[in-house]
Amino acid sequence: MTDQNDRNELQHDATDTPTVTGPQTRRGFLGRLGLAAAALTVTQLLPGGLASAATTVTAKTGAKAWAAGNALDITFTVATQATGRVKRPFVAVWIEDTSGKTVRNLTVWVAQNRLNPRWLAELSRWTRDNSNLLDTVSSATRNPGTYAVAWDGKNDKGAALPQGDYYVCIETAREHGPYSLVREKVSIGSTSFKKTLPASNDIEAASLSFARA
Amino acid sequence: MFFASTHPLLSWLRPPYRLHSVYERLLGTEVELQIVAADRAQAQTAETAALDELDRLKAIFDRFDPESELRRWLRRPAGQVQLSPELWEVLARADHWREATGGAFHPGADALGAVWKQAVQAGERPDEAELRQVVQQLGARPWTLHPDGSATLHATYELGLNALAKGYIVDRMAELAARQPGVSAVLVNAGGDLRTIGGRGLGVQVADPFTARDDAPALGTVRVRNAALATSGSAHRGYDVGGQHYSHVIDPRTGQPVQDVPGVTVVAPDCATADALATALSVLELPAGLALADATPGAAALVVGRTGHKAVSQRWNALTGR
Repeated sequence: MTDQNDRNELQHDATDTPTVTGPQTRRGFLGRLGLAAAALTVTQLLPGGLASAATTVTAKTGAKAWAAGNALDITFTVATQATGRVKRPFVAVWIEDTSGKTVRNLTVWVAQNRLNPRWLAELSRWTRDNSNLLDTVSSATRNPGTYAVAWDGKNDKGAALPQGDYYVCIETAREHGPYSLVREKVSIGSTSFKKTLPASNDIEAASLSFARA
Repeated sequence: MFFASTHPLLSWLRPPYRLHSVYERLLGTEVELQIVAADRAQAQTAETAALDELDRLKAIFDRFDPESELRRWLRRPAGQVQLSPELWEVLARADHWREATGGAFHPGADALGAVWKQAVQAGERPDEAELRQVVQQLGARPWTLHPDGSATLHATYELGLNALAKGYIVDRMAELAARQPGVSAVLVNAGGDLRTIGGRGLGVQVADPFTARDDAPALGTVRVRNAALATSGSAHRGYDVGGQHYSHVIDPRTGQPVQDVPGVTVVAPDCATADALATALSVLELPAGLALADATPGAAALVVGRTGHKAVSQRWNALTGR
């Protein structure tokens, strides 16, 4: 069942999204999680001034910059139909440019016992000391399986990217569940928009909203 | 292997094992478990015990299961019914909070919620007369508890024990896990309502109550040890009627959704208390809410208004400091 799903996913990639640079596999996914986590850690270690001092790409290319204060809200729902004791899936959300190059890693939720998934700030708290409890998060009761993140138009170095075409990528994997990928092209201009993304296996619903944050 | 697990010196030298699991779709939200134990097997045994306890209590309190003890009892108004000790205790706690809050905490708020849900489907505001009628019904006590562990149900409207039952289940899970052999520290966090026992405690990042974004910066971090913490707010839930968003928090005293629901975070000795207080403080006027927190032993509250204004009860800093 799972293998069948994977195969379908690969075929889907090959036919519908030719700009994918390679086949998406479980191994590749875990590798991506590792890289993303490493990138985020590095970003956190950089002095804040360095990131904010980065110049905008737009000045060189002449392309229009993002309208100040605009953000792309990404909301998606994962595996709400699964039954039994279901552990939270691995989830990664990132932005690619039209050549398929990752320009921004937005969020990585990693499995238990490694990095506490919910908040990126907790990556720096990862410790080898197992004798104490890890920090946690308290929010108003959240709906299970529903996630929301936002992209502010900046790349991983904190530099503002130009308007234009990008791919929003949402990838999930789950113990005893299928691998899922949603990869959708969006055209970022000056006007706000809402868009519903196609579902894929465990990713039951996904939508975008581009507007003033 | 035999010596490794039994020799006191060797077991003292071996580092403890920390289990960390997050389950989707338990108690209507997600449930995080952390268990520090002498070894992996003991941590897993304690986790299984906690999850089995959740299943057992769900069979009593689940409002979505027509065969739960709560739902079966709610179908039998007027008769005196023998209840499980668990249901009786939660009903007794509900009585306490309903009286202590002057009705701001009320299990019958669900009846008002049902009226609002219907309105959402019809796309219009609820009928004011209908709301007034329900509010009037809420003025009488919904049930009578008898000392022999039985109860008589008076209410014919919809009742819910959500705020209390979830906290109560979190408490029972955490206490059971902490009693298992080899366990030194436990955290149970059900979608933001948590209880921790043992260890040196942990930091809890309190999420910004006004955004549902998972990557938004936290409001702040508080330190919790051998205590519970619960948060309520309108970030994730509410009603949309005629293009206008109303909070899911309905004031049982008026039938109206609370305008500008604040973000409320409460620490208390146990999660059922924290949950009840957080719910009550979402409805109560700020001074009354803070006074209620001050009057509750071992409890403290942080209330964040829609403008970002923060207010804390007397013991907040003492109970949440590092």
